[in-house]
Amino acid sequence: MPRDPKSSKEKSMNIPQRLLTLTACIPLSTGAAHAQSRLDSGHADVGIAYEDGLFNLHVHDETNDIEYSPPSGENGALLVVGASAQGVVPSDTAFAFLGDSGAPVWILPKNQNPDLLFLGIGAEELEAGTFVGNSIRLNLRGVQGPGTLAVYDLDAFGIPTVAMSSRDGISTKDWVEVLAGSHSHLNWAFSAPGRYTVAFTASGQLADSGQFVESPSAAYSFEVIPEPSSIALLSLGCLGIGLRRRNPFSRTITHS
Amino acid sequence: MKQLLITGLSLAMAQLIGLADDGFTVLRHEHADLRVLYNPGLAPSLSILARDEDRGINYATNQVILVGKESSKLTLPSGTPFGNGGSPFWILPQSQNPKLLYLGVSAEGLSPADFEGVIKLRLRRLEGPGYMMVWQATGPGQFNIRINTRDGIDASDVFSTITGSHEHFNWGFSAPGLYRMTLQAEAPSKSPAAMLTSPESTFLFQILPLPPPVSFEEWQLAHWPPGFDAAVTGGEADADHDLFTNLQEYAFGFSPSNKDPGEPIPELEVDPAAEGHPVTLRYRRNVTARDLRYVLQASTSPTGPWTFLGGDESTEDVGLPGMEMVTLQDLDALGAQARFYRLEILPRP
Repeated sequence: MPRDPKSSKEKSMNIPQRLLTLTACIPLSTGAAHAQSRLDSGHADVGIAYEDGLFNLHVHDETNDIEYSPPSGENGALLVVGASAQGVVPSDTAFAFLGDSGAPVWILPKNQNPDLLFLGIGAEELEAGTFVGNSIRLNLRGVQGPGTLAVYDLDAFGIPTVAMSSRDGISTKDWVEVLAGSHSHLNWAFSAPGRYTVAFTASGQLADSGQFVESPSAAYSFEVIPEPSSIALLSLGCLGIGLRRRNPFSRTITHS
Repeated sequence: MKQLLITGLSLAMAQLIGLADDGFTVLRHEHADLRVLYNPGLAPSLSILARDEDRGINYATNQVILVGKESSKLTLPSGTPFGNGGSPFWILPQSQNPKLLYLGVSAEGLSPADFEGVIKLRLRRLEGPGYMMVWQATGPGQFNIRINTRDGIDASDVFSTITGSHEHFNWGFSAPGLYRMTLQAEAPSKSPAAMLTSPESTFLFQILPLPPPVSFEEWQLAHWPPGFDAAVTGGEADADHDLFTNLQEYAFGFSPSNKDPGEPIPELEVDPAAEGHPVTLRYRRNVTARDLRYVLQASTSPTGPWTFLGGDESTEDVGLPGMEMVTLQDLDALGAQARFYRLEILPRP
């Protein structure tokens, strides 16, 4: 079931940084997502369909032509942001929406890199004429994880346009337009390694009735992989936490 | 009695053929990909097609025209590798703009079961009035340039993709006009383990506004894809069944896809009351056509002999790029019992 996006968002924003490190450790040690299919390369889309009067949000593995619906969960997909996605926030102020200049950032780029997942937003299953202007929106409804998510575009000269960002909170301004029958690629930027659950809805205005329709939230799972050196530090951090679980303070950490 | 003859490069009657827009499509604002396809069989091969992703239709190179509309024209900022700041540049953008062609490169027609490794589309040639650059922006002032004909064409001018995927790019052109882009695909086949190579495929871009054509070949490419049915595009064909051959349409600035009014060419004005020169002739002339010359002739018999009709001609603008109206008076018409005129359009050596 999709998580409550609002509570997830508020929770993630209030977690102290040292506890986020633990959050990142948990999936690595528990293997909670073993049944999920890890998509760490190739081409995949956040897929949007509209069938029998209902939206369907899913993951479409375009490389192997496999559809994951629901997109996450036991039989869903885990969208992996590989370690080589790590870079730093540019000094150009136009990129301040990603964080402080020089801060680490993990980006699945809109330009295909064979070493990384090439993640798009696809509405190829939507029939032309169903929605006004053949236009629908993918709306960001929640981000739960150790950091923030920004989805942005670059124009022909490299100037960014932010479509979605959880850094400044999530509002009705966080959406991406997708045209029926088409798909688009954008940059997916995460501010910290670890596991994320991102909730989306799809919405649009039906052409025949003029009715505005929006889907329930659908949860997508991401895993942002730190660089190997970071993994080593993380392991040490996990060990430290394990030792500290013997004292009362560790329970507080575990609870988070 | 006055009679008019129109003479093209040949007097052969044009054969009636199909409509000009039958059999090809013009992509202006669709999502389209240049797609590599695998043709398995005893002699496995590759081919490159243009696919209209909105409609799921594939087009061969002689069935499609790719258009960069006038609204794709931008002004280059300073400090880019695409040209001088302030210069115009026509860009089909990597990010979809519903009003412009959204053009990608696709290997979705290739399965990882058949191929492994990188699929490549190499640029072999570009013929056009300017240069072409194809790139992706990775940050402010940071570009991953795939094609750059500004510095010539070599092995670095290549698209690389993987099976089952596709990518979009910014396609930039430095001048409006007709561009013929020739690509060749190569893909590493698993079984047999071999590098398959496609034939060369030439796609036509029309970057608008098109300047007036300087040759019949250019005029053809302004209306049909390269290699389109010669029975439609040939000089003697009459694509729109208006009794003007394609060469005549080219010479007079008409369209081969719309029936043009069957006004006599040249136009005649006869004013018996005029002193001295009662006959005035007018005809449209394509001044940019480097491969044509117009010869107005007169005779006392429809079977000739024909003589060159000289005299002072005047010209005026007709509001069509590259076209002018020529006006000439027949100095010998007065007193003639019969006078015949013809306009001969000849190839310029």
